[in-house]
Amino acid sequence: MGFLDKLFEKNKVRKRSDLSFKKRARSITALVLALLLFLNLGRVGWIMGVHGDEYRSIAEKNQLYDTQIKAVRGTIYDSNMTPLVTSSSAWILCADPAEIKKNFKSDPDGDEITKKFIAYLSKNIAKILKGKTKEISEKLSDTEKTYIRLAKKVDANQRLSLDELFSEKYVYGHTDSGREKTVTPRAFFSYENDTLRLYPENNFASTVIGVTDSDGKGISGVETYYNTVLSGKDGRQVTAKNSIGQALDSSYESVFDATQGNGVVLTINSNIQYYLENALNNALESTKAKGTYGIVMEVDTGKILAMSNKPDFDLNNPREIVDTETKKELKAAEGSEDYSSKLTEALFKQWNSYCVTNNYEPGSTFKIFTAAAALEEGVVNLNSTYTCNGYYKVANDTIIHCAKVEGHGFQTFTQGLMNSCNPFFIDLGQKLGVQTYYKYFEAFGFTERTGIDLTGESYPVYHKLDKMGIVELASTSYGQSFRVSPVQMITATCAIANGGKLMKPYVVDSVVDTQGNIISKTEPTVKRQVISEKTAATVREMMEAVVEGGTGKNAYIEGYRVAGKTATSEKLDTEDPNDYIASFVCFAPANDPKIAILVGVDEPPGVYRGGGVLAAPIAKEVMESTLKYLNVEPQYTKDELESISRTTPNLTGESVANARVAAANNGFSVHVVGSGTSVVSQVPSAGQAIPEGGVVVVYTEDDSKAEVVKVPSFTGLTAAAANQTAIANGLNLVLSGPSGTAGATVYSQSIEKGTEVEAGSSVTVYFRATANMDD
Amino acid sequence: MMYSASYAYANANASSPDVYFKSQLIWGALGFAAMIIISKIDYRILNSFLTPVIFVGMIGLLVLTLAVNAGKPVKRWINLGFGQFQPSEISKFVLILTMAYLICILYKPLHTEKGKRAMPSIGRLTRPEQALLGFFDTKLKCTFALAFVVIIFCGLVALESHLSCTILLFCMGVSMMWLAGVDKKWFALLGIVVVIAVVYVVYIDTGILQKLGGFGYDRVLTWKTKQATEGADRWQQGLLAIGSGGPFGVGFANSKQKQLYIPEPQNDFIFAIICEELGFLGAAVVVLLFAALVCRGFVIATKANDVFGSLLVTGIMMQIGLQVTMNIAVVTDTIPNTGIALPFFSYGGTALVIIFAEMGVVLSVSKNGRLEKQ
Repeated sequence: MGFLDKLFEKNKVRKRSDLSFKKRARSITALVLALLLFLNLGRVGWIMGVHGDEYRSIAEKNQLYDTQIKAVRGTIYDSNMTPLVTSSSAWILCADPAEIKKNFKSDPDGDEITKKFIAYLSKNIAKILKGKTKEISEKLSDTEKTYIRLAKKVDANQRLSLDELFSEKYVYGHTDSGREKTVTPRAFFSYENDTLRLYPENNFASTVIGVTDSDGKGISGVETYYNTVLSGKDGRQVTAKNSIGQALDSSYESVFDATQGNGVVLTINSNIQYYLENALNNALESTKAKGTYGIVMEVDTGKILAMSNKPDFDLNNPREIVDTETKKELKAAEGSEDYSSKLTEALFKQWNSYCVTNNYEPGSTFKIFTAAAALEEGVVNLNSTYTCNGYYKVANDTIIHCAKVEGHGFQTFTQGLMNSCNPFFIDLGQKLGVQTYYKYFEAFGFTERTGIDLTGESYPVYHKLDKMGIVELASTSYGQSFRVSPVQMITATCAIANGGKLMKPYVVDSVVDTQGNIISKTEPTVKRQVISEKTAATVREMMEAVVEGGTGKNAYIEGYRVAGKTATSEKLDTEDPNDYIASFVCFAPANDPKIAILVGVDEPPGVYRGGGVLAAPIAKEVMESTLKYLNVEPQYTKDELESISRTTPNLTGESVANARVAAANNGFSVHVVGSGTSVVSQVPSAGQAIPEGGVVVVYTEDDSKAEVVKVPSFTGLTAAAANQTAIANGLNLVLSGPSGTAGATVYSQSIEKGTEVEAGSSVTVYFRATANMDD
Repeated sequence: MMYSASYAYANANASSPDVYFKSQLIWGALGFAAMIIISKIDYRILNSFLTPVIFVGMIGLLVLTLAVNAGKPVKRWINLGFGQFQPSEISKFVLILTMAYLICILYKPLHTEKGKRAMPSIGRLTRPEQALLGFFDTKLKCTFALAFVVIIFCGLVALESHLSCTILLFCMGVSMMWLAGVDKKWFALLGIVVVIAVVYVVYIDTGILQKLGGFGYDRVLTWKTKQATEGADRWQQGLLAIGSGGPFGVGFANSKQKQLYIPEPQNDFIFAIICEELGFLGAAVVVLLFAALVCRGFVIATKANDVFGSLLVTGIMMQIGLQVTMNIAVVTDTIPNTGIALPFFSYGGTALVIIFAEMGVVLSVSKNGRLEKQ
């Protein structure tokens, strides 16, 4: 210990109290503390407080890998909740071309193999996705990129095929030891969520439904107007990744589920829509017109039950131009500078509902509003008369001719409408005066848009009050020199049909959730009372007369009191002065209207181009089917009752002799097939309405072969001739349309000619009258 | 904290995600043991010829390190076969020790004001110590002697290209000289020189660093321009981590920035992870703990048995305080990146053992302090 003691000797001396050291130690400690607290902690606080949000968002941008989960778009239903458009899950196929290149990098022929491999992939993927090999190959060959989207909207079947392709080993060479060198493509591909819009009905109601763009956003029709409702809310899958892009474990992951879009229930009824589209298609074919269009509206509510224009597009192929003329024009413009804008314009024209986004000259159909205004203001009544000389002189120097050059002569007010006499209505307009007339013009909604829940509704083009002189008033009185949209026209027509209320038309009845529970319902909106109930009733009566015996007789339906008005209007916007629009508005039953229909035939070629000849039969077809579908009770006149009471008796089970007697009592003859003694079956069956003198085919033996006959063509025949032809062919005829009118001929038949049917079957033939139909 | 910070990095770069943690745990245990043992030993054993021996040994070691690594750009490590060893880590303590020892010997001239009564020496000096005192008999001479020691240390470590340690050694040396009672005018002069140098280098001509051998040129330039070099990425990601923390942090082990965004998050930038995971609150707790340690050190120093103990404790506290300050200043982008570790927190075996050993010395001083003797 002695050594250590000596060593530490000096340390045994106690320290003197050293004020100088204490001071200096205190000051330097204070300095260090200050640095710690203010410089360091202060700086940390500053960064967090001032830059915190900014830095956090930058960091998150780096760290988080955000995958969008597409919300499934809502379903579009028809009024009976039948889905017209649905959506299903689909995928986006993504690829990592850089990884493909990297995979073969170590190989001496890496570039060559990469090329071959990409060619192999492109070919097979294109085959599965029905795409172009070249496009896919170009995308995959961009080997700088680590992420590309190869294809959107890959459906479940395609995905299955793709998965199969990706799991197949691709052999690209041999190792030195002779073993095959292979690669499985799966590693280079990934999927992301997408949704797919499914259109099982193709063209059906396509212009009302509308199309969506590649992101699933609506760009026309209901799809646009109700886009927010249908879209739902996209979800997100947020995954954290490290700086080299590897995903971190799932504790860092958060998923925000997508909310499926709500569904919309259209006011469109598939059955009625079908009747309309079918009739419009047939009319387009038979008239060779540029286009046909029509609207069916519920008069009390403003619901659009059906709306269409032909030709229209297939929702599954919306980018193919349907209109042949437009197609030609586009082809000619191909390669030119404005091609793409022209194409866009043409596409939107095709996608939009013609009845909403286009204007037309309403022509003589507009006379019902002139009539209503004149009646309401008392300048005319049902006893008023007017003598038409074939022209009307306005303001001394303007002469307007009547459609009938020689004049309609003396006529009552009702006759004036039946004849669609222009001078009569010009006269009414002049009597009302510009101010009063304009008041009704405005009240019927011709100066504003209807506010229908579809995008792109057109604005009417008309003479503003300060620009309307008596000449303009004259032409407006009979529906020329201004343009309104078809939907405006039918909405105004409904105001007459429903007792004077101008409704706001609509195509979406309700919004429903995914379970079909109603979230919101569109209530009918009455915009205003335009005319009195009484005036409306009077105009309805006059319009019924138009169909019973005037220019609208082609729309006559036994048992359903159709009221209507025809129009043949000159188009203002085309160069050819011979371009016309044949149109027809009607509603039924006239005493208690349920539905209104507007039909237009755009630029029909040929001799017959009047609304009564071309448009009325279409409207009639649709009206008849619709009223029957809606179970509207028929109201037959006495004559009608007599003719329809002639129904086939029940002959089955009777002896042949008794059957003959029973048939004869009902005004029918019997054609016996087989050698039996009693009737086993009959065609037509009991209770069918067929014309007097019709044939009932009776079969006497169970095994007797049904007698088959070919349906002949009835087109162009008068009622008598058609009947003869039918009997000669062992068929029964049902006559539809104004068959009794002189000169009325068949223009269409329910069973196509050449079809083989059982003897005794009924064929409905449709007549139309063409004489005295000018308006 | 270390476990959390290193997990992702180790996961990606080493065989097992907790390899750093385990290694640090072993070193920590070793350090703790060393601290306990050292605290049992009377620190005054060092106030003897042992210190000159340690000093010479240290200089030898530093020179050896330079010799071993001749030709390499960075010459601070010695490979011991089982791991790497940084002599410069020890040099911080040896500097404190040497300065304390020297100040005790030169106490008389250092504290004798001009024209005033001479201060007595503290303790009895051995013969060589007396010789030293005889040579450095004025305050000015003593000042130069102390400065010389600081310059030797700084110079050798600087030659090892260990910039951060050089700066730290310099600061500590200056602190020790301040404690020694060196005239304040020198510090004023030094302050002016340092400020001018810093302003010149940072704001006027950074290129001069390149001319002077590229010493820290890249780091200063990066800090100045925030150019996206590798180094820039480090502070940037560090700042993003701090910013992400908010008041309460994202929760322990939930840091995302440690997922390879911050290079080697277990090292110098561990404080950024603390900020991110534990928020401002956690960061404040850490900083306040260090502050408390420094305060406690000050109390121990003032109540120490002798000047030597006071100087040792204050020196060690200065080391820790300055190191923490510099580390956090780097992480928060207040000063250019120097590559300095956060004591007790950062990964590094040598550093951890030494800091624990130093705490052992502090404990020893505390134990032998007047407070307990009373």
